[in-house]
Amino acid sequence: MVGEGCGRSRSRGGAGFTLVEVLIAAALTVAVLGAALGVSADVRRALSHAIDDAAVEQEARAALAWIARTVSVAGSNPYGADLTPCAADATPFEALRLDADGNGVDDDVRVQADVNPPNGMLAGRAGECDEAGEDVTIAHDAGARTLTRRDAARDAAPVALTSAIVTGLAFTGFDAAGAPTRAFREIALIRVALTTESRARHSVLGGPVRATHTMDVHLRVR
Amino acid sequence: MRQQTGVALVTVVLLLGVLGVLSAALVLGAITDTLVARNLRSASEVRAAADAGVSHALALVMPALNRWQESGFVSPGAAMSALLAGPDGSPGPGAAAADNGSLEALGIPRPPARLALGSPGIEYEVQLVDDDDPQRGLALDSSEVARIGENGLDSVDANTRIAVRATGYGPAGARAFAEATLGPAPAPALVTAGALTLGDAVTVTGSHGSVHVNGDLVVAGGVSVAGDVTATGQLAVAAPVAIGGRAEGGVPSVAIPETLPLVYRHTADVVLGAEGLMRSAAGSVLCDASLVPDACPGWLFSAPGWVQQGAVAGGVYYVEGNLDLAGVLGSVAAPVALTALADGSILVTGSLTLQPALPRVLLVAGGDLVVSGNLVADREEALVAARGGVLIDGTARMAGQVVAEGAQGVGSLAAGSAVTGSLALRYTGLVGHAGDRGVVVAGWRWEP
Repeated sequence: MVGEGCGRSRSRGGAGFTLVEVLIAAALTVAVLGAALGVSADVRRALSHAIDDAAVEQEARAALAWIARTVSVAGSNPYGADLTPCAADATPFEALRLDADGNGVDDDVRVQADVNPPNGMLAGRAGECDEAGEDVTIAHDAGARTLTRRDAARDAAPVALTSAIVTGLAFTGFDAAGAPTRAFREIALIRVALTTESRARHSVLGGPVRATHTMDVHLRVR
Repeated sequence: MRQQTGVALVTVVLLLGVLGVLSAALVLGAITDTLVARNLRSASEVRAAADAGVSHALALVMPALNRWQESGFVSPGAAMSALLAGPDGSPGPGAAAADNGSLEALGIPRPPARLALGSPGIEYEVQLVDDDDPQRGLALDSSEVARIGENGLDSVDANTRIAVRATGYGPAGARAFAEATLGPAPAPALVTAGALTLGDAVTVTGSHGSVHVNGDLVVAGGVSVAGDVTATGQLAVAAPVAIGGRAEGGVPSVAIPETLPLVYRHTADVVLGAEGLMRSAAGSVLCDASLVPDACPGWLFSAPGWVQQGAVAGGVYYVEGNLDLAGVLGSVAAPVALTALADGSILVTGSLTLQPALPRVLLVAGGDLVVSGNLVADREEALVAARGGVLIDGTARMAGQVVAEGAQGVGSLAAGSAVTGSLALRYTGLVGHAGDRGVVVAGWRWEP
């Protein structure tokens, strides 16, 4: 009876909701919208991280593919070029040099190959230096967290090839029998390990999500 | 009721909007990722196909080239030219050139016919090309063609280098190229049979800047060698030396072919006869020094041989007997193009700045070779060879390969081989006379 009376009273009188009803409705609305927005934010964050992870993964794969392509032709020297006149630090031809900067860390490699075009000159004639890709140093810039390239034919300084995602780079040489070696002339295979870090947080450990991508590159001219 | 319905509708619409935007972003991201992954996979597949094509061809071509002697070819380069000519054995021109570079005879179809790999649509084609062939798309200029020792004939090898070129094909027009350049295995810059002594003023440089002796080797302090220093016998090295490669005794011997000046006689522009006559390539007498020894300008006939004592024209000279290059000839700015071939020994007592008149050949002696004077020949790599020993007690600056066959009793100028004077020798493998160790993959490149 009370309910019916109330219902009739509202419809008849058009007095609207009581204050309590409005407050309850408002509270419920805020709670529902808040929860929805919270879920939405979580989803957007998760999506953003997933996209970021995927982008980092793709960038790492592309970087590894470029490294593999560059390193695989190391030592290609069909006409016996023995010097490059193009880098300021001109050095005799050597297929590859681990730890090119000599700091004791194998996070860089200098690769030489007469490939663009193969013509008996390394990086081009003196003063022209227009044969890109023939004397390339691949390195890790720990400060900027990037992979860098310095091409003796076109780069005065290292050029970043990735965004700030690279936290580690390691080159390990192996001889034809599969034994680790640092002797340049015995290296038949280079293992490249590229460690990246995305903006995502690890779901269990809480820290940044890191991944190490590894690739074995066979030197074609050995 | 109407007001309550409105609130719910707004809420649902808002939620649907948010979810819709998120879903769209997710779908777009997934589509983009799929396309990127597909492109990466496609690029990898066509490159792998090209790689497989080169490997397939190498597995067939390398054994064929490394059996060049058994197959009756005079050199690996001749075997390469034969392969370049294709199944019909003719490089052309015209219709005969259609099969140039085809490996049909070895079981690989002639392009544009392709071989399929396992995955659908992944195929490759392979052919051989000479390294100065425009089909490679390198656009080498004339100086580069000269630098690599080629002849501008795209189906005739001149430098013992050819390329195996494969194209990998994938779906949607994807393709990639891989190319392996075949060349001679590294041979040492200085090779001798019998004992060799290197003094303290010897510098050997270049990608093939090694020294090998089929015998005992004594290396004095101060010697600089970019590559290996090896000997089949004992190796004695005095410190300090700068050896870029390994220093080792007791290694296997290196093949040294017989050094026969006669092999090159047909290339001679001038023949200096044992009877004192100077003849042209056609056999006509240019001058007679049999009675008046200095009748031929620049030359002195001194049986059993000839002495160059003044300015002479460039060319390929063949001497029946010994040859003494005693005059002054050429300058650094203007070297004289001269190749000297002698049945007997060659002695350099003058001051000569030369470049080879016969490509890749500078001095070939049927006896000994002695450089007591000053010899500069570092513009083009060439062969300096003696059937007997090589003795350098003067000054020599050369590019190319120095070979002493070490045959006994063929000369009386050098008792064995030694460098007691000054020698600067640079070698990048363009001569390929001694130390034949077969054909190897000397270069590799990818496109794009």
